[in-house]
Amino acid sequence: MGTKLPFVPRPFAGEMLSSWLRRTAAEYAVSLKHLTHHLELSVSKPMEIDHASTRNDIERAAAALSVTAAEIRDMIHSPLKMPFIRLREMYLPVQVCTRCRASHARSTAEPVAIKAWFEYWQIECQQCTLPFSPPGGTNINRCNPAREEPEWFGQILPSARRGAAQLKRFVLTRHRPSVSPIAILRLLSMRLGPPASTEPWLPWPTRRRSGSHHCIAELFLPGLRERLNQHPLVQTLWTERRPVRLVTARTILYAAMANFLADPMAAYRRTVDALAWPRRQAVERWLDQLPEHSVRVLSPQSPLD
Amino acid sequence: MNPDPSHLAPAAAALLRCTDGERIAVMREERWITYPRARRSLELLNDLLARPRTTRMPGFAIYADSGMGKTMLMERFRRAHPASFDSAERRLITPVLALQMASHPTERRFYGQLLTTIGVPFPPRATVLDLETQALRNLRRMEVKLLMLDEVHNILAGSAKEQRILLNLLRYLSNELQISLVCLGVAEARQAIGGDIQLARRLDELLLPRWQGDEEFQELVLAIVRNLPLKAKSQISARALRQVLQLTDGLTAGIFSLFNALAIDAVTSGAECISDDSITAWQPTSRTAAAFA
Repeated sequence: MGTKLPFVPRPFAGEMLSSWLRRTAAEYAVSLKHLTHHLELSVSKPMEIDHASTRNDIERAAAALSVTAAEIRDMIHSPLKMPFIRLREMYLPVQVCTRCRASHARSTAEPVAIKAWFEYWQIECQQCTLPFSPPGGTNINRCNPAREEPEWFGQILPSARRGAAQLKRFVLTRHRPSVSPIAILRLLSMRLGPPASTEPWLPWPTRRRSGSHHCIAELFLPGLRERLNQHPLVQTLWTERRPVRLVTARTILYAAMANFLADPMAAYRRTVDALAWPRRQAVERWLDQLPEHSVRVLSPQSPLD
Repeated sequence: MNPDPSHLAPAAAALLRCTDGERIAVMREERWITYPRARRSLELLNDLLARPRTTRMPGFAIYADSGMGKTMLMERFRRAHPASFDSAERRLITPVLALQMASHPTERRFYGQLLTTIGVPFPPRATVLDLETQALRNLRRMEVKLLMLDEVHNILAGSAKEQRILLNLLRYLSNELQISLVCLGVAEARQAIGGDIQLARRLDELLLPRWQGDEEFQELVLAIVRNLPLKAKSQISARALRQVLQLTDGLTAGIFSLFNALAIDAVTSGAECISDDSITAWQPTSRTAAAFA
């Protein structure tokens, strides 16, 4: 079925189909649009190729590039299986692996796009396990503390990997855990006021400054409080509308999420105990918005029972 | 009925288990039967393919009347040497490349046709230089050793200048890529290739004349009959063979289609063999003018 190209450049590990086709087109001195037309694909723009290729397109591309259809399917984004429209791969890369990018640049003059760079649940390169960096990393404000403080981030990395895998499974498959990782991430990125029992409740404006950069995640990650005093790493709530955060914030939140989900009931109790009245009310409102089965898992004594 | 298949070639004998409809369908399909003359031609082409690359690659010019099986021969040889994919270097290795000369071949059309045959995309507004660069680059990558060009007499459709350019191009391709050329065409093809003395000297002539009532023709008929899945053994006399030559003008295509038609009639009537009587009684459903070249 379809045309077989006499030569195809080798794909890079984890490369997107559009990126590979663009490099192949360059090999024949034609545009991506011309190549897709030559291969009789119904899609021609990179975003369409990676997000909207049909089964027919996949089979034609596989025949032309001398690979299997399964290999082509691995090179495009998964079809959306969950009703969370916003929880899917991004249209632009949200992170890059600087080492892989340098390696690509040595082999080809064409830009290379790696699938994991579009997946916000990834925190490190699957090829060289280097923590991802934000794209366009020349800006000092977009530096990656995961690389600058490798010792501390190295400690939380195993938990962060677990958390990233839990989120990936939730987003890409029909697996529905008792408590949604999305809801937990939202809780963990909420502001944490001064601990109810140990610190006095400071008056305005000291109160605002004191609690502005602290989040609930620090209850589940030792040493995070000190880092948050130096850098405002988790600035805004993790929501379905905005699932993308700098890779640093994601690493922290995923590690805290994995620790939280290890024993959700105890973790919720600990969260509530650590909060003073105004913050506790916000968390109770968060709990009220959860499905009934999730509330039972987190707080069996809840009025729902 | 459990017929003795000893009068048939193994492939044809295997078809005796099929229904009449299936056997007729197989007979109507285009298929290759190796007969002595074709075998010799294929052996010559194989020898050519096996030769090492040199600065002056030899080749063949195969001349025959229309209907003598030049295209089938080319297709058979191409299929015998299919492309394989080198997964380490991610490229197709194609030792034999076959294409038909366009009706009005020019340098641009020839390169376009060549690139289309090997599956290379090219922009329609590409210059001749772009097309040439892509063609050379990909033919070299594909390790093509033998380029077969059918209907070479079509070169004569162009102006004298176009003919000159195209013959130069063929010689250039052969020199640059160190590939052998096999040109197939009717008698006029000799005139076309003769336009370039250097090219003509490189190509050994191979003629496929029309069949005559000799031993070679008997071997052809024997090969055809052995490959027709008929349950009974066919008996054909020398007189009937002469009649076949008369009916088909000694053209390979005509001989094959005559025996196919007779075999289909034999299956339909239940006779299950071809006899002198069936040849004598045979009337073509339509009479096509013989192609004399």
